[in-house]
Amino acid sequence: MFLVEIAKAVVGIIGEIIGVLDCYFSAIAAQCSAYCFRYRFEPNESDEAIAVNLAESLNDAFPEGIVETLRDMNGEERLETFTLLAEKLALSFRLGTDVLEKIQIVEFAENDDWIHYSKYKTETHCIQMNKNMLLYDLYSMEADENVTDMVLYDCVRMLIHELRHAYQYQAVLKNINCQDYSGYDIKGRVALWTKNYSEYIGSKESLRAYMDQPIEIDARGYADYVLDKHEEGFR
Amino acid sequence: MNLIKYTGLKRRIMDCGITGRGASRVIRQIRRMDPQIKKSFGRWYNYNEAPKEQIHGITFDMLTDNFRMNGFNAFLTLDWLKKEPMEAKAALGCALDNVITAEAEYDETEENTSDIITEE
Repeated sequence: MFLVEIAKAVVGIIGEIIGVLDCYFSAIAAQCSAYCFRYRFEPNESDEAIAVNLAESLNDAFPEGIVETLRDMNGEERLETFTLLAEKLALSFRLGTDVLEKIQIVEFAENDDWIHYSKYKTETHCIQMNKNMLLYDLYSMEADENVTDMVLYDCVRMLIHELRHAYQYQAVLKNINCQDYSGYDIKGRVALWTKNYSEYIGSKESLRAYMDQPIEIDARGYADYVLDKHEEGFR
Repeated sequence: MNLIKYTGLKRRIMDCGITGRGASRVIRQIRRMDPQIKKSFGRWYNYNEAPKEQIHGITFDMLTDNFRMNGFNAFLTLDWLKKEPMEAKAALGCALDNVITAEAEYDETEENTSDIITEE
């Protein structure tokens, strides 16, 4: 009962946030999201190879498109699909089984976590996805269709985003052999990630500083890059 | 003159669940705020007067109520909206996550601990 109340509150918050954005600048935000944050991400050859595998996994899981497939599912089907997808994407990322076993879909606690879609814990290599987001529209009959579509799409976006964090951290720990990469500036990039992981700034502290961090720019850019590849399959 | 004491400011930021290192970063950003935003910040901090004006359609109350930001983050975001509206607006539309990591030690002795004047 308590969890349902939390879930309802989350639905309200998400609705409010997107409502505010929608009133003031949804169209501009969509345009400048692409403009402002994508241009700083440049994939190397290894990124591209992995992205092709990830996009194929997405195409298999969502033959009708991400939103179209998830929207028509009930909660149980959605959780099952998402769990299987998470495992498949982790494999495509060439992440070890220690990461595979630690992708959890859980209710985020009633605090600042509410507005987060996901978490990555470096010490345990654990990825957590916010169940409230994945079941967003199922908690409220009043959920707006456009908001639901945006939230469901963002759930997949953030799963790729968190897996990319796990990938970055494996590179930081040198568990991923950087000699395999033929891309440019890979050493410089890992050095940036290493520094960033030692002084990470949460969105609670400063939205701007959070957005501007190398690991966040990379994870955001990479998720968009993969989703673009997936979308290409529908064009 | 409206003055903010460094130690009290740092403590209040930390009361929002921000680490000591994070609080120092926030204070550095407050020092670099646009003068008008800094003036509003001083009034909010010392007299609890929340600013009512909109910056590119966004108010302080929206950031604290709808986006669940603490007051400090809300002022930093208003400052960002004023300086780089396109980027700040796009950021408000992004899905957020959190990376939980062990924080490295830092040297507090290099901090600028002078008090902040927000209004002459």
